[in-house]
Parts: sequence; structure tokens; C-alpha cells
Amino acid sequence: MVGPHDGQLSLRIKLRDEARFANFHEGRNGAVVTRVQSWLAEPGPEPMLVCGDTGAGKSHLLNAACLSFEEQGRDALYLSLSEAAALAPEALEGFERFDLVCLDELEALPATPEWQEALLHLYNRVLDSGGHLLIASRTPPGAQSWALADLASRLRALPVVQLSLPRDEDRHAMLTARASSRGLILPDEVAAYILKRAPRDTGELLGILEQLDDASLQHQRRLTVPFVKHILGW
Amino acid sequence: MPQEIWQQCLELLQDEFPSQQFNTWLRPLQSRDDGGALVLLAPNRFVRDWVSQKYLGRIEEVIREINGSLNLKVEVRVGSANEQQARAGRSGGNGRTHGQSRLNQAGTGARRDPDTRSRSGDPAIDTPDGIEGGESAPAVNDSELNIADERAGEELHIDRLDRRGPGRQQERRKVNVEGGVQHNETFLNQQFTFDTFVEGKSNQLAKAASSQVAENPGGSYNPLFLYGGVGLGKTHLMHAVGNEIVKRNPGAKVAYLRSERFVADMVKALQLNAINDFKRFYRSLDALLIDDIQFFAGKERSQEEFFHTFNALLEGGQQVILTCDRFPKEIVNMEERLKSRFGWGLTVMVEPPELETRVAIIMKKAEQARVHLSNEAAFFIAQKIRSNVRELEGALKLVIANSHFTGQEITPAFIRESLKDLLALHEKQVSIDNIQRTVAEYYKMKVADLHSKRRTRTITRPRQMAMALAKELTSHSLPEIGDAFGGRDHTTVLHACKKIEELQESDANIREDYQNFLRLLTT
Repeated sequence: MVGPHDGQLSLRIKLRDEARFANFHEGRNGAVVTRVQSWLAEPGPEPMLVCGDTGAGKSHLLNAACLSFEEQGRDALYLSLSEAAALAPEALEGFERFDLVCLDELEALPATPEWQEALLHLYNRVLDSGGHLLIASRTPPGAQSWALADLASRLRALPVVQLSLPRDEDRHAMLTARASSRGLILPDEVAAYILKRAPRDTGELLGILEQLDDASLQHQRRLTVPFVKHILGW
Repeated sequence: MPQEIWQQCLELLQDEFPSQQFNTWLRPLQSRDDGGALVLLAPNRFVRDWVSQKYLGRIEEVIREINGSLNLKVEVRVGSANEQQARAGRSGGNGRTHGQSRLNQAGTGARRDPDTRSRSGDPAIDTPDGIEGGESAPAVNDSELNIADERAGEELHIDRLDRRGPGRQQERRKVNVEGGVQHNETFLNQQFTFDTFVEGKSNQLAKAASSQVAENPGGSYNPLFLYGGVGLGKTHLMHAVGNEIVKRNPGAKVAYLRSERFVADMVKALQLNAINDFKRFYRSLDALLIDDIQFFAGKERSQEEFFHTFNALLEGGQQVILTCDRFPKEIVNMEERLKSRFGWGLTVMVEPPELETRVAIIMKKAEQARVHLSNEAAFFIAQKIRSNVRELEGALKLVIANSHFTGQEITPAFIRESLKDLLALHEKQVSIDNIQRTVAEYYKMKVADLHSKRRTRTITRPRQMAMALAKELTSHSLPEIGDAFGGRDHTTVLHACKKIEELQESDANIREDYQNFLRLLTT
């Protein structure tokens, strides 16, 4: 019997599974992905806003956008505002040097004039430098209250695309595909077992996959229902 | 060599860290070979500190795994790869000074050609923790004062690139200014002209004053101070004046910049002991256009510098145009002497557009986008989005984009579907109840007084105001509005609306109250 944390240390031989457009499971969001991609191809467009509930794939889309720019030899930066909020408003300075700036979790921007002014200036500087600014938010800016009217009116006027939450069949397909891109075989019945018990949030689901990938490597075991049950303690 | 090792290191780190962490903290670092050491350049000091604390150890380990014998020193600094370019430019010996440059030729630096991993005009300053309270140096691009601050050796290099040099010419590109419209090599947005400005009752005066200034810069309307709520066209008018001045006199030195940029330039000049260049440059302009000067608030050193620049320009008969979100006297944390000087020339308010102007704006924007829009559709949008022109245009763009992607005709039903989230918010936000509460609170009275039969002026006027607002801001019929005010007749509502319209013409206080309510209720 193997314990969840027993076994040999895994070597770094996992296949890369970074967020990219190719592994974004579109489901009902095909048109949104197309719009974001065509926006990325425009020279110096107006900033764009991606809205959607937690788990709809906003972070994936933003990171995929970064990777697509990097693959073209262009500089890109991803920043979650919830992470930045632990720093100071000046943490948003200097980003106009990037060809693409992706800001995630707009709703986490602190509601202080200092932070909102910092975002307004970043917005203006990216626009002035001809860069791309892609912002993601759980709620539309109109539904949030803002300390700075200048920022509010800019955000409310942005072109918005709305990501829908994946349906169960989308989540199943996505889980299987992401497992496959890691070189893991995830039988349908195991995927169904995981989906019935795992949190519905896509990020957490992928975290579970990561955990199973590590465990499978350590224990040199295929993914079966008993193995998954044991590793995840379900 | 260090840079190649960094690329290999990145490849390995990419496997180790989730995409989000990797794309936030590691991939954005630019690398530089500094005498055999690997220097990683972060966009600001917070990123530098975070990377140093959380990732530097692991980076060093991975580099040792790649090539342990090299014993490569790794350092994280604030800056950009542009520093190398700046040094290369400097070695060419083309040290043109700040004051000799034409700012209206200045771009914020060319965005990098995807094939070359280099960029000009990037921030290249290892910013200290702020020069004075709230006045830290944003690491903004500054192509005029293109400065490389090399703090590693505690040595300060000042570099000014010749913008006319062949290398710079190749890097020139289109950049954006507010509104997302492209323009060439100048901070003036060439699409913001008087021709593209839609005139209505709300902005007539501001437009007339701006035209006067464009015809006779440095004349009696100096400074021209445009103020009003956000997204109402102040920036458009400002650019229009600048463009017209340059059109009439192509040799004129005109500079448009946001106040934040002025502050950033000044802080950078102070850091680099180049304040005289800074002063010389700004004072050599024929027209200085500074947008959103409310952001000078609390920045004492910038206000001081701006005060002297402002005086020098006015004394020299050079034009100054300023925009602000409020009347000069209402700006907080701004020196009194500045506020008073802002009022020396002409102060004009830009008001929110009324329905007819909103319809005209939408029709004009649709025409510019080469989209056919029926009057009915334009009217529908204009009626629903009342807050400001920026949001009106945003809504139109969203409708056009949806139509483009779905291939559907733009009808009121299609607009309603496209803007459903936006409209829900607007409709939810502006209800008769909300109007009554806001008006009562504003005039320090009870909501019940608005419903009551009392007819004293202190109650009648606010009631009329609330009725007029309900007609302007909601879709309720006149009888419904009357009902909501204690069961009054629809003719009473009509009378109230007419009365408030007349009073707005004759009484500045009522006009201001009405505009304040529009702002309070729709933003």
C-alpha cells in the first residue's frame, strides 16, 4: 500500500502543460477566443476586457495570450491584481515596456484612490506606447464601485467579451485533454469519478490533475479510480 | 554567454512553475550581459524585490546546474534592455539637448520589432523610493530625455538621443493616445479635430472658446481652462486646438501631455540633475497642453515647477491649455496661487451632452466606422446611455463588434441584447426612488416632502428638479412619474420639466445642481 506522500521523488520529466490557446477548451466560448485572438493581432488596439465567473478560463486565456506574444518574440507580462495588491500601487509602474500587459482579477484592485490612479496611469501609458492591455474581471466594471471616475469611465467604455462557465461535458473533455497533454492516460470512468467529487473551479481541477500527475510519476502507477481515491483521500 | 544561459534557465524554470507565476515574475525579466555577470532587469522596484526574495535563489541553482564552472554572478535590477541601446546611441556622440528638441515630434519610443529583441524609449531608471511624498518616479518612457541610469557602479549617465538620427527614424511608429486612435510621431491625436467634434448645447461654449484660442494662441484666453466630468470631450477639444495651431503654423512647437507625464519627466530630471534642460524645454513651447491637472494634487514639487513654467509661458505670450475634472477652486491639495492663476484666462465647463447631441455623436461615430445605423437605433442607444460620451462610444463599439462577429443587423432588439448587462446596470441605477433619495439628500430634506402636497418654494423646486430628472433619466411615462410624486397629474410633471429647463438658462445655481445630479445619478 502506498501512502499519498511516499515513493521516490519525481524527476522533472513531466511534459509541459502551460496555458496556451491550443489547450483552451472552447466549449461555448469559441467566439470569445476568436475575438481575443483577432484583437491580439491588431496593432495597438484599445484595451479589452474579458469577463466571466471564477473557473470560466479567464486566467488561462490571459496566460495563453502572453505565451502567443512570447512565441512571436514580443514581451508580455501577466499580473494578477490580487497578488499585486499585497505590494503597493507603484508596483504597476514600468509595464508600458511590454508589448502585452495582461491584468487579471480587476475586482481585486484595492478601492483606494492611489491604486485606482496607478491603474489609470498604467492604462494611459500602455495606450500611449501602442501596447496591448488585456484585463480580466469576474464582474463587469459597471457593477463595481470606483473611487476614481476617470478610471471608471475608461473601464466601462472598454470592449467586453464574456466567457461562459464550462458545462460538465466541457469540463470532462478539458480534463482528459489536459491529462493527455501531460502524457497521462485518464480513462473516462476516472475522469467522471474526479468530476463528481472535485470542486467545479477549473483552476482547482487542474491543481488536482497536477497532484495526480506527480503521484503517478512518483509511484509509477496509472490513473485508476482506487489510486485517485487513495491519493486524494476521497 | 550569460544571456544564452538565461534563456536555458528560463526553459527549465518554465517546467517548474505554473504559467501564471512564470508569466508574472520570470518571463518578463529582460537579461543583460554586464561584464560577464548576468543582470536581470525588472520593470520596477517591487518586481525586483519580489524576484530577489522569491526566485533568485532558485535561478542561481538552475544556472549552476546548467554550467557550474562558469560561476556566473546574477543580479536583479530595475531597468530595461534599452539601456544598452542608449549607451550605443551615446557612443555615437549625438548629444542633442532636451531644449533643442521638438516635443511635438516626440513619440514614447518605438515598440520593438518582433524580430529584434530591443526597444527604445523604455524606462531605464532604477527608481529610488520616491523623491518626495507621493512623487515617486513612474518609470515612464521619455524619448526626449532618454536617460539610462546605471546605478550598479553608483555612477549616473545622462543620455539624450538625437531623435533625428537614422536609427531613431527607423524606430518611429504609430502610437496611441486617448480614444485608441493612431497618430504619427506626435502626442497630438490627429483624429481629434474641430471637424470630428460634435457640437451641442452642452459643449457649445467650450468649443467656441477653443476655436478662438486655436485662431489666436497666446491671446486673451490664456490660459484656457476646460473642466467638467469624465468622458465629455475635454481631451478632444484640447487636441483639436493643438492640431489647429500646428495646421495654421506648421513650425509651432506644441506639446500635449497628461499631468502624470509632466510629473514623471520632472522627477526624472531631478534625479538626473537635468532640471535645467527640463525647464528650458517646457518653456520653449508655443503651446503647452496639460490634461487632467487634478493629478497634480498633493505633488508639491511638481506644482512648484509647473507654477514657474506656467508663469514663464504666460509672460512669453505662449498658450497654455489645461483640463481638469472640476472647477479650479474645487481642486484639493493644490496651491492657492496656482488655482488663482488657472482662472486668469478663460474657464469653461463642458457639460454632459443632452439627448440630441448624444444621438448626433452616435451617428457621427457610426459614420466614421462606416457602419449604417438607423436613427431609431442611434436614438435607442442615446436614450439608454446617458452618463458620458466615452461610455456612449464604448457602447456603440460593442454593438458594432457584436454585429460584425454575428453578421446581424443593428436593430434596437439587437442593441438591447448586445448591451443587456450595461443596460441592466443603468436601468437599475437610475430609478425614480433613487432620484428622489438623491435629490432629498442633496437639498437636506425628507423624501416624504417630495411626495407631499406642500407648495413652499423650498420644497417645490427640489420636487420639480426630481421630476425633470426622472423624465431625463428613466423610461417612465409622465403619468407614472406624476404618480410617484404623491399622485400628481402628468401636466404637473410637464410644467416641472419646463420650469427646470428655463431655470437652467437663467440661474447658474440650478444649472449646476442639475449637472451635479446627472453626474451623481449616472456615474
